[in-house]
Amino acid sequence: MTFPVVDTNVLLQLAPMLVLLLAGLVFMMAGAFTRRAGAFQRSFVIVFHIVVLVYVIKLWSVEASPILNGMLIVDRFSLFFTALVTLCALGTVLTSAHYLDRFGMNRGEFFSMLFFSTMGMVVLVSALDLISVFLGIELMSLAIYILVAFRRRDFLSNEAALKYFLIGAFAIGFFLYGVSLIYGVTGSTNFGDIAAAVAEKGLARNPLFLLAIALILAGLGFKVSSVPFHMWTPDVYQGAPTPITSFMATAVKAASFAAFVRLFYMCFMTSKDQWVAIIWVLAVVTMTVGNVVALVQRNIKRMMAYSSIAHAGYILIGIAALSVDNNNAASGIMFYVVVYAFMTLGAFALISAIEKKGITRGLEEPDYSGLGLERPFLGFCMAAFMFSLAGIPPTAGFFAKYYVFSAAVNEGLVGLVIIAVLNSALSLYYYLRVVVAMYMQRRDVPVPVDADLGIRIVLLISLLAVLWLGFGPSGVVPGVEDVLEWTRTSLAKVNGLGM
Amino acid sequence: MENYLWVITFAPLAGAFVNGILAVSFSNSQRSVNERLVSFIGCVAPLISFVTAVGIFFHLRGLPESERLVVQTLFPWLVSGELHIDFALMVDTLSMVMVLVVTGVGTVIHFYSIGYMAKDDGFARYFSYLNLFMFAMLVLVMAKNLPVLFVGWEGVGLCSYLLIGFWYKDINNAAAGKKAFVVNRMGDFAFLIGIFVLFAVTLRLGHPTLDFLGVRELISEHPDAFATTATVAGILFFIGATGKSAQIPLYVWLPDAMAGPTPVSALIHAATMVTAGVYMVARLSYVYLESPVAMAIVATVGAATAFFAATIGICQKDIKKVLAYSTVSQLGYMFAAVGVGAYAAGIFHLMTHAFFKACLFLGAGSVIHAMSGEQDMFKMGSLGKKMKITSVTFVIAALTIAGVPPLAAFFSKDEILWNVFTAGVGPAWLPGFLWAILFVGAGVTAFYMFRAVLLTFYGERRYTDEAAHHLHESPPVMTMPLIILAAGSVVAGFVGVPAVLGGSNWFHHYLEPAIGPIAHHAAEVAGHATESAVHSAGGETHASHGLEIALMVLSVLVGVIGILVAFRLYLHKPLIPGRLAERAKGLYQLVYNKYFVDEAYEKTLVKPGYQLSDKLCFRVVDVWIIDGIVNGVGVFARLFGSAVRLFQTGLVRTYALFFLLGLLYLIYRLVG
Repeated sequence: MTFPVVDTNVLLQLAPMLVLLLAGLVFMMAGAFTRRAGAFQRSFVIVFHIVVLVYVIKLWSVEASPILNGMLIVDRFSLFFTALVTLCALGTVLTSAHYLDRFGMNRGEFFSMLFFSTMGMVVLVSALDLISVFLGIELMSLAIYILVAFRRRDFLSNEAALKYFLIGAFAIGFFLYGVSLIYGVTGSTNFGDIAAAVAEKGLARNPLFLLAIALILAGLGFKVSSVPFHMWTPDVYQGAPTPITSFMATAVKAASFAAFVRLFYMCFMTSKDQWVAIIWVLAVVTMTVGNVVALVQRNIKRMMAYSSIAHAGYILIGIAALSVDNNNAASGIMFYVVVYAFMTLGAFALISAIEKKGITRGLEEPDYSGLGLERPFLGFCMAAFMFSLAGIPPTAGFFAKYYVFSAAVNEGLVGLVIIAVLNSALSLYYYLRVVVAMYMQRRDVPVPVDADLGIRIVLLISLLAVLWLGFGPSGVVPGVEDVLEWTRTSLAKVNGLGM
Repeated sequence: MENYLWVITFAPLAGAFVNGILAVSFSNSQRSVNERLVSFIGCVAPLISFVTAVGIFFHLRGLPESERLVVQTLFPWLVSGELHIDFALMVDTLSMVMVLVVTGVGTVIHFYSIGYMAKDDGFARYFSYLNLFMFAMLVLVMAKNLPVLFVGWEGVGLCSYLLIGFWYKDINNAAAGKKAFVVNRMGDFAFLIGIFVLFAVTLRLGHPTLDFLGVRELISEHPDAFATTATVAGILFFIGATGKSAQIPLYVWLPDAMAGPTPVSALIHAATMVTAGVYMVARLSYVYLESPVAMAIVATVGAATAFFAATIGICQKDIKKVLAYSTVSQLGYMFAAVGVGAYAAGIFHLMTHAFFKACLFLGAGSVIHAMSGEQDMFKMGSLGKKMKITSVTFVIAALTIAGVPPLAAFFSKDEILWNVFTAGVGPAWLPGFLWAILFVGAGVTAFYMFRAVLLTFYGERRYTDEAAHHLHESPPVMTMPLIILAAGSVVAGFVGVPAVLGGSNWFHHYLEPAIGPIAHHAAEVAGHATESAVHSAGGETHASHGLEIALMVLSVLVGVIGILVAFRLYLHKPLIPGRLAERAKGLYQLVYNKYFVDEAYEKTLVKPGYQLSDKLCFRVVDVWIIDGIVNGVGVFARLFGSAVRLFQTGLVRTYALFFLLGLLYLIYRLVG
């Protein structure tokens, strides 16, 4: 028997996915033979993540080209997002140590599912073909469905998972329908071939092609929780175990936007005149509904869910501002998801530390009363994340918005930016309410906080990131320039391939 | 050596930081802070600055005269479009004089404070503020450009506010601090606009800059482009100076500022901060030299303030108030000097004033300390017997301010009078008129100063037996600074002995490179309405030496007459003043109540301003319009949120329905 010839270069480029796959399998087995995932297993989880990151660094300088018959590409754009989702997963793992024990779900399968989901995201961000986009989404989502339901005996958790699953299946159906239409019109599912066929056959205004875009947009809009495809978000974010909520808000959103950017950038730019108006409307309703409904939320996880919807709206502004002439909007989006990931991970880390069993579950506003005065470090971190989420300088949240908005202004989308700025002002109300509770309200018994080492590490790193990424305008912080520079090179490459 | 400029400014900042932390950490605890540690940190910080400044001084001396300049850029600060501003420090000969005065006198006063503030609850807080003040003041005098100077300018204002209201538990002190801050802000506003005006012109010339050297270069190259700007900017800058340096019409805060601890009055409200305006005018000499109008205004306001404040000083009962009005008056002399283009004379008087006025204030502080807080001179008298060192140093400083030769102010005040007399500013009658005002003012100064000396230290005893029980000479940590400053008042004048008395006026030549237009342009500018300035800067005189000596003798005479009148009225015939006050009751009341200027401001500005704020800005604009909009948006948003929430039924079929409707909308917009 002869083995097919394996190209070691391709294997190297697949290494992050393979490591995640291996890790997923290992912990599936571990879950079968151990009752509880202790410090030993947990340290292995961390090691696997670090290995992935090491491979990302190793691959950074490798020349990228499509692999596996053009199904995937491991370029700097995908590596950037691979690193980001891996960091988000790592943050989730660090956040979850005591949390899993507290709610009796500390099992190896938890990590196994986390690894499979992360692997799905890596496939998604590296996808260069609609089929691999579909595969990535499904792998990511199936694992997430299970993770959402991980508190098996909790009613909310089960309800959330079922809702997510049903609506998710509904949405992916439309997505697939769109993919089949694309194949019907262009004769290919490969990004490069689609773009070439559109240019060749002049399909930019073809009704079937536009119908396909609408269907795919609905599918992706579901993943990034854009209004009106968002309605599952608050229920699922509330019901899921908090570290998983954090993972969904950061990693799932980042990976989906990566696919969003690459697909729209490479395949649909010629039809931009058609779809930009829709994205405009989607962005406006998404951020407005997100912010306005967040105002009336009492449960902090639901509030963060609507906040996450609002931020999806801001990022959609970047999609509307995508342009073939420059990468401002794309780099703005990339910077935005990184900043959003850090501030959200940090905020959810603290939320999981405070969450407890009981009637209110430690998720209402009064549960944060006096926290800033009793636990200065935790309070300061939370305040910084809230200010950053609201976009107050000099935190990173301000500059994230600034880059996206300025790209939009350059594209002439002034009205959209004005609405977005008004929305930001509105969002101050509910973010600052948390700060007010922490610093200006008192209660007799101190807040019970279970902030273990992992949570403290996540808080500290997120805090440093939020401050460092935001401390000054470009030129003062070299890191920002670097991130933007990476994006530019990466997207230039995508550009060169696609157009 | 230029690499050490930052040490001068940042040593006090570090001291302020450390003492600030100590103050905060001990603020709520039962134990009191270790005073030795605090005073060590608080005094070593300015001492380091002083030693470094002396090092820079000798470094500068080693350089050729035209290159006496060291610059250190710390970091790029504001970069935006065509605007590029570095946080940069610069020391030229003008800054050098200021740095030496600030750090030298400042260090002495820091040491004095150890004794004066002993056992005060806010000991660490006091030293923290005082060090912070040193930092801000040094940034002000070492700034390389206007924005950095403005940082220092605002910083000293802040520290002044904090220290005036240092004993904030008394509402009067807090109110005095607030008054100082608000009045200063009015001046600062004009100052800021002046900066913008200047920047606008440099931008139009294609060299956007706010750097002192850059502006100087530009003005030297394009004097015509600055013709009107110089007047506008010069006046705006001077309005800023009237706030900071307590000139008409914004002087009213300084007498109230005496609510702060006395060493603060000595350091901030006599020796250093209030002279910032004089320094600023000298620093921007090249702007003022382009505008005869602005110069005339500066000189006139200065002379008017000098006379006006001196007359108020005659009737004050509070020893610190006398010194406060004296400071306002002396600052007026300095402005008169820089207004007529005699920058060296103005800065010279600034330096000598720092010595004798700090000495007077610290002496007053020593008296107040001994009298357990009593400040009314009519409850003192014959203290000289018990407080030998204090009284002797006080008398020396008083003789200095009266202009008795060969003490320091004799040289500096005389130089001002001579320069004003021979100035070419404004209409032909103006210099003579200003000289006359200042001349009479000098006599009044001598009078009120010796009135204070005699009432406090000599004559009959008017204090109670209980006060006598506590009365004591201050400890050495307070008397040593008095001796040092008195010695300074005696000798400081010798650096500027004028040519007519056989001196070389070293001080004058030392400052030359930093003043006026750049040397190689000076010749072109000479015919450009700045004749007087150039001649006074160059020390050339048209008038004869005989006239100069005659004026000198006259001014010494008027000083001596003032002293003798004081002796007559307050030592030999102590009943006369009361009778005089009886006879000219209206005039006495007018002067005693400081010409009712505070009351007039209260009626014309403060009250209407308050009414405007309350009736219009608060009740209408704030409550109705702004709150209305904010609350309206809030109510609307919450209603909208509650409405949208209704769709969030929790039912999957609703979610799917909305999904479908959304999709149909997308398809309709895209395909339809």
